Amino acid sequence: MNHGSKFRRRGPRSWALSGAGLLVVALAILALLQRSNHRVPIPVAGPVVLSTQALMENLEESDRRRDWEGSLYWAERIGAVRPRDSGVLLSRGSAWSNYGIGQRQARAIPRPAVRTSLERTACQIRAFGLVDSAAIFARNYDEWIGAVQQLGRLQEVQGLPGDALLAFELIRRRVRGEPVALLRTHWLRAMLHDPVHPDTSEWDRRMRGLGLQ
Amino acid sequence: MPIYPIPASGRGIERRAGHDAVVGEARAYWRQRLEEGARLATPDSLVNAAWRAALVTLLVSHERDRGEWVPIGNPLQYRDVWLRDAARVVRALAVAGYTDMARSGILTLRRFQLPTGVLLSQRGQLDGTGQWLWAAEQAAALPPDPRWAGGLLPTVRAALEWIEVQRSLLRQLKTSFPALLPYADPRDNEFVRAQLVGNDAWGIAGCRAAASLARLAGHDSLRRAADSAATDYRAAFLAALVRSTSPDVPPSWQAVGRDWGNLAVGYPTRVLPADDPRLALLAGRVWGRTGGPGLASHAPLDTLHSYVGADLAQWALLADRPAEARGYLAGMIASSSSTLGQAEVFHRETRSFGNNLPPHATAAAALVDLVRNMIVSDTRDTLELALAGDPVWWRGTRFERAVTRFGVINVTLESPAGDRRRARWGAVAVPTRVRVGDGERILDALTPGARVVDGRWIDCPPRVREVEFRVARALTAITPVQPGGHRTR
Repeated sequence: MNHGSKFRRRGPRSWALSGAGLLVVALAILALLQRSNHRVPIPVAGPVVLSTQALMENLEESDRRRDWEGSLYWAERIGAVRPRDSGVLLSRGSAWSNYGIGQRQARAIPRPAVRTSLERTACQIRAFGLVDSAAIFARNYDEWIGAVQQLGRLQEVQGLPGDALLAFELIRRRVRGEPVALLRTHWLRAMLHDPVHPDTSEWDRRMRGLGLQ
Repeated sequence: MPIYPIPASGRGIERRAGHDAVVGEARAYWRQRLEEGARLATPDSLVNAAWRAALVTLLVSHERDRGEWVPIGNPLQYRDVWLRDAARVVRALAVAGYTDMARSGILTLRRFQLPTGVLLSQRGQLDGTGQWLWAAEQAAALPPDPRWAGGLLPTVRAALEWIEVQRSLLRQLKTSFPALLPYADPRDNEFVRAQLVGNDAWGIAGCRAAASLARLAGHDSLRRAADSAATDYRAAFLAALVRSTSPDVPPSWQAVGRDWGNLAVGYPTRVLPADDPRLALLAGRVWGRTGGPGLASHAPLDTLHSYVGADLAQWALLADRPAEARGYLAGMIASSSSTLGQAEVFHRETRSFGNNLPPHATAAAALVDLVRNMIVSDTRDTLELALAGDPVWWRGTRFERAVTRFGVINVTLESPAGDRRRARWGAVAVPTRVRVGDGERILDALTPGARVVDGRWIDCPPRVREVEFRVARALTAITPVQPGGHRTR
């Protein structure tokens, strides 16, 4: 990915193998060795060190602009600093999913960043893994609920209502009254009952009639 | 001007770019590639050319990634991977003798498996899991390779578990159509959000394929689990069929959507046997929209689709209605491009395909599989020869290195005399039955041990390699079917 020149590593330069060229190389090596011996800091041409707060702000800004490549870049940079943070894992999972699916401006028409369904699936598999890890590393119920909700949403995005329902049911059973899980399970159950005419009130009546609500 | 940089310059480039040389190189390359697969020659030169063109389409509709082959939709506007299409391509490559390529494709397609076990190439296309399992079994069994099958078992087990979890969920929810897959919204083909019949047909085929793969690999507990799942799944399917409002096989259990996956119920998934009356009604309904057997319309009705009806043609072969299968093949060839490639969809009258450029890999796969099954079919537990029922093909058809689940064999159909027909094939461990051409009836078998059935079939015991019989003109004339009832060029 290209995120602007200030973060880009300098590429190797090609040197002409002339006598002058060799001399320049030798002098440069000598200079570097001398600087190294004197512990003079070498300018780092890699990513500028930013605070986590600054990284988060960049991520939020990319998300706001629906710049999914940028979001992925910033999410992964935060992940490098805080690899076991549930919230960061969740952000990374969302970023990978958005990167795989979301469209970006191209020369002719908006297109996804990836070309084939195989590449898209690789992004989704990564997203599922990260979001699952977010649930595992959750330090409290809020973080855990957020991660499992995202797991359910990812399943819905993939068009997998059964798997989505299982995710939201997991929340409902562990955290009674959790409103998002309640709403999603109600809707998904209604859809699974009648996907063509999902009438949640009819579903509710039917389930109560069966003693299942 | 060469596309890729070459060291030559000036006249060197001209020499390298010489038309004759390029043509010669291309011809030599493709002759060699086609020689790697099964070799087909019928008395119909157009069929032979269409077979070769279809193989070329299949071979060029591939990319290379991570050391494996990636089956794509076509070399032009469909440079992407769909499990719906790739499964058919794998099957066609396997029957045509490109075993390594078919198996490589399966390894690539395995990358579609999500952590839950589902195999999904496109959002909401829930038939992918069954299709991968089915295609994997095709690749592993054509010809049988226990070791290679064994390497797939972790993927197979996870896929099977996903199917069973979904069915269990719907059973627990007491939905109107329980113990099936949940609703899907494929945003393509069926164009509806509903519980799709095709998803379940492929799911059942997938469970059966899982059992076959486990059996081949010698994994008995997985085989039993898959067998049990397949039996229970099929019972749920049949119950849903009874509960549905459709007299045939609807696109979805909610009876909405376009015909697509439901057309695969007779072939290749074989959830219903060929003689099930619902399949005849389904074929009648689909073909009725376009005026008779042949290419079907997916919608709108002023267009025809090159492969959506191919499964019905295959069903017709199994149902001993070969004229309809021949009609389909004739329709495919009649609507091909000048280089015998098939567009996916084209206008019925003008034959224009717009931006949907031929050739389409799935159409090529359909053609290869159909032609192969017309000559040699291992779909059932008996080797079946000459299912096409075409008397012309008895004048000299040779199919060399035909890959079947019973072994790799050579098949010959010939007429040593005006009233004699002779079939030769490589010995297999299962019985063989041979069908006479339409318009003829069998008088008697000249080969000891062969048995005439119904005047149209010769049954041979296992290990037999040849049968000869006498024929006479059939008493009832059979009307040849025009290609799809459509205008031909």
